[in-house]
Amino acid sequence: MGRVSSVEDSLGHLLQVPGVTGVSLVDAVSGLSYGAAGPQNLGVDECGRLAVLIDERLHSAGAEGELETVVVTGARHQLVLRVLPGFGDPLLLAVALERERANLALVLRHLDVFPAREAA
Amino acid sequence: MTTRAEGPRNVSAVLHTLYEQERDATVLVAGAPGGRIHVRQGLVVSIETPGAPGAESILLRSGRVADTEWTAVRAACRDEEGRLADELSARGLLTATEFEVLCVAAVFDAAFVLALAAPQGWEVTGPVPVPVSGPGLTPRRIAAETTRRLAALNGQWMPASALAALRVQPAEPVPSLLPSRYVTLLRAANDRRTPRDLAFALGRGTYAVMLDLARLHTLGLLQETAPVTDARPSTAPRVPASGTRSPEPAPVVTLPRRTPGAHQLGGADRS
Repeated sequence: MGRVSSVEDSLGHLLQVPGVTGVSLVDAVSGLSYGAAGPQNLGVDECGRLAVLIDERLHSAGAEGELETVVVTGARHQLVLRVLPGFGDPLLLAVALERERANLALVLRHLDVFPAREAA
Repeated sequence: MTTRAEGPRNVSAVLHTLYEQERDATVLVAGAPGGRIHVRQGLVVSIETPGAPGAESILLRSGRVADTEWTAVRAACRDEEGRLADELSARGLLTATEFEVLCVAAVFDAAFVLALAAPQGWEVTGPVPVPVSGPGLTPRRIAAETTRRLAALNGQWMPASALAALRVQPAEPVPSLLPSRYVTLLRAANDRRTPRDLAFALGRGTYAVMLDLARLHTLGLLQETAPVTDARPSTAPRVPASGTRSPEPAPVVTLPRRTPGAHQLGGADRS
């Protein structure tokens, strides 16, 4: 289908942030991908499982409250997982970054306003 | 039922044929749980089944949109297909993206539930009006996701079809250091609810509930429960085998009987 879905349209905006190479919206529990944008294809199922595991282990370690953001930093790339509370199960916004070009603080700021912007 | 030898051999093949022909149709799937698959221009836009909560039920259960608001939106759309997203968005209740996510999640969940048991048959009819429908999904994508889900579950606790019929109970005590989603699920699990019942009660997907239950089992947070069989309740008279009568038959206790005419309360003989 040539038609771009609402999800992919929303994700496309995040690709305009410098250094962002791939964005996916995934169900944090089921691992279902609702849409993706950008040249870098993320293993969304794995991203979902990673977030679930981190959430579990953090709670076992005594953390309280809900998991919000996971930032994984490698030599050249970064992966940001942002949990979006919604109705039903949470969604996960998975963002791949090129470390040299991306400003993490700026990316996080964009992720903060993503739900609000998407609603606009 | 169109289960002829020369026709499509399973529901997936039926959907594929409809996709190639770009047809508008509704596929009635018979069986337990069975359901209705709504196809528009060859793409699956909605699946209704009693085995998984639909988009409407998840939305209302979550409280994201109030019943009265939802009723007003439905009335404004007059069951015109495809208008709901615009109407919800125009009223500021739900964005187009949120509505899409909701509908897509519900279709995949229902498709997964239908795949848990072989259908008894199916029938392709003309398009039945479908009030709540999302973006069209190709049968290939649905089949791929369903396969992924079955494989993900089958690699865990027990086969997905067995887990779907299981009634679970939390191991006591429920630890406090758990993500809130697990705590809510454990509190709702009461030995009488199947994953499907829990999904309806919590406004979540049946697959997501089953996946969480398998995880909770791995973490040792569920009590082992005897597997439930698919057999219907027995209707045969159950009598003790001859010679195994209990030595002391229970004394027959009868309630005191009222003797007609013995009491004159109210002073009237009602007969």
